[in-house]
Amino acid sequence: MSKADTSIPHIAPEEFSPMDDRLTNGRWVSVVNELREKCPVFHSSAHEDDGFHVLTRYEDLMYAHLHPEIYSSCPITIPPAGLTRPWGVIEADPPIHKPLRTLLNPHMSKKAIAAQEQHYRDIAISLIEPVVPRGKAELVEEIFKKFPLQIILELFGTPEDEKPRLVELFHILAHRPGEREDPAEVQRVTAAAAQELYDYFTAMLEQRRKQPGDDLVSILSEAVIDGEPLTDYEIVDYAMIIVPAGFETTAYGLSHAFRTLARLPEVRQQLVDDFSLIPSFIEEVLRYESPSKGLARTVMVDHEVQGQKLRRGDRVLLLWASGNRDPAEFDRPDEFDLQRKPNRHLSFGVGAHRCMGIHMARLSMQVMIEEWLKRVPEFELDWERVEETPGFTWAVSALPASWSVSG
Amino acid sequence: MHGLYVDLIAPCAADGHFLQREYHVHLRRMARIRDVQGVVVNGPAGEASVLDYTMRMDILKAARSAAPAGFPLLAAVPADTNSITDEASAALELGATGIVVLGSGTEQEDSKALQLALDAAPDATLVAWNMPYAVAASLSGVTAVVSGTAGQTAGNGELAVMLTDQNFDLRAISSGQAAGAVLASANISEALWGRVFRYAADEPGRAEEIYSDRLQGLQQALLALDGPNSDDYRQVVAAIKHCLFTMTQNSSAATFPPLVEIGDTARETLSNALLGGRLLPGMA
Repeated sequence: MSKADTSIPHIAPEEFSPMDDRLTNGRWVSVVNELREKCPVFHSSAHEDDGFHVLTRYEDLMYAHLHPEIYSSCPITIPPAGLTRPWGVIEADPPIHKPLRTLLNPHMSKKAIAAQEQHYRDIAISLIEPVVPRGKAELVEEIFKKFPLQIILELFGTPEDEKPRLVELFHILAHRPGEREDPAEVQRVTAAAAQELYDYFTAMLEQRRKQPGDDLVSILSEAVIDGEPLTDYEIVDYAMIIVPAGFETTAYGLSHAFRTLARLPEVRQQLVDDFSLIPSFIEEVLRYESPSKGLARTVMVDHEVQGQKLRRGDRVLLLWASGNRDPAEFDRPDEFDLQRKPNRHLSFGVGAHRCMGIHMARLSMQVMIEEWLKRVPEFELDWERVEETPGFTWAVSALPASWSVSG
Repeated sequence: MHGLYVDLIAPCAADGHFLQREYHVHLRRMARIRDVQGVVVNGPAGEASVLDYTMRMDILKAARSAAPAGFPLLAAVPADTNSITDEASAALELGATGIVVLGSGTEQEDSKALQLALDAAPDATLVAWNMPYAVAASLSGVTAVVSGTAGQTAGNGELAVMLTDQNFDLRAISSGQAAGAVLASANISEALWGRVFRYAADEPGRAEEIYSDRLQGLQQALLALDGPNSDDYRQVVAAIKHCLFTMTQNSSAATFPPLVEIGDTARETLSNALLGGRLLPGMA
């Protein structure tokens, strides 16, 4: 992949896929801008038996987010992840969504996460310092994936030797490698991966019931809603979503952020000069790059959007990436504005399903960027070897970087 | 009234208490399937015969809170002449859009109960279930559900899904253990499940061709759960296929597909796939 490789593919609405690797390296921007302008609600046959509708306008996306009685959150992805049950709290609808989500609020609140800042910083430093003297590193594998994984799996008390397999299984679920070439085989592989994860967390639950700790599974196993304990399935399903939601999004949020830092050295220098700009930088990266291009809904009540009839059972992709570039909401949407205010981007979702780990993600990214720039204020990427992998979260999956080593 | 109406099972804990959140998830799953027109609450698959009035109303409330606006909920009530007027009225007040009268097996009692239900709910959909077809057919405005033979409507515990039919108002399209297979398949591949049944209704002449294509995906999904050598899942898929194929081959006949037998292990596997095996005794 080259930095200059930005030729725009012609993609008709009927073949649009959020997993299309022709849209990598920023090529998605022109495509979604054109689709939003010409057909703000369109239908694609790229996935699912009946295909799916795509909402592109910010206003329509907000409406869908704020009306769960019309738009069910299950299945949350297009194509569906291949699970045998709804994907825990992220695919729960009202009225059961709120009490389920509330269970972990004390552990995910801004205050609770802020109390972890030094710990996050220590983990970041422990990953950064060994690579700095080398003057080069593949940042995604060596740092960005390990960092949130360590934070998330600490919450579960997962042993070190089990982490690689978990990463592999969640990668299959989130990226469905080979989807365009052989969807039936991918369905089989993802279902098998999901089953292995179900078994893993079921075994963990059994173990925690015998020996409770202070980990999330132990906490959930003792939680009650309206006097009723959670079922085993509810606990396992909760774990099934927290890990990928916390790991994938932060890892690839960071890889997008560092690619942006390499592309925009003037922005990088501004951050080096003033770390207080980092939070604003993170929000703009999330808007500008939309690491998750969008999530899905299922229509529960017949209605119309922009003159298009949506029927109960129809699948809908909420294309955040398009809403984040909608000029009706953002001035100069295709410009990277470090100090953009307001910046009501959609990348954490909106409404009841707004990202539960938002504070964890923001703090993780802030700490990592800060600690990195303290040690490596200037770096370059080997653009020919930068890789991007489409998925429910779009990954900048390889980021080979080099920098000068002083002394 | 037409289309597929799913008789919802009621998930229960080992001690028998109703698992409301799981029921919510289950109902929403059905409501997301475009080809499912509505659901039956407290029907035979929900083991209505072992539920008391309070529990039936609790389940109906749970159903109403989970169902999207405008989604039909048919509340099943026993054909008890002493209570049917009050229970049918209460069900409508709680948001039911129709009443399913579960036959008692006594023709006179059923006939009277149906009339009382009709008086209590003159504007609602009214369905006669598990009673002689002649009883239901004798009353204007009553939809009869039939299964087994033309002369007898569906029996307790038999129905999972109803489908409109050209000869009868509604018809059961799976029964006994195969009902579990059908419902379990919905858990695993809901869109596919709805599609298969729509084809069953619309294009019976192409049944085998369509099923072999459509069920292939379902089979893969099932096998992936337990490895490619799982005879249990092969049996399940075969049961679903047989049930559907037989039905469409005999779409105008007075007899209905034979009960499809699946083994104990397969039933247990299905039970586990279907709401975690927390079915009331007799359903798994």
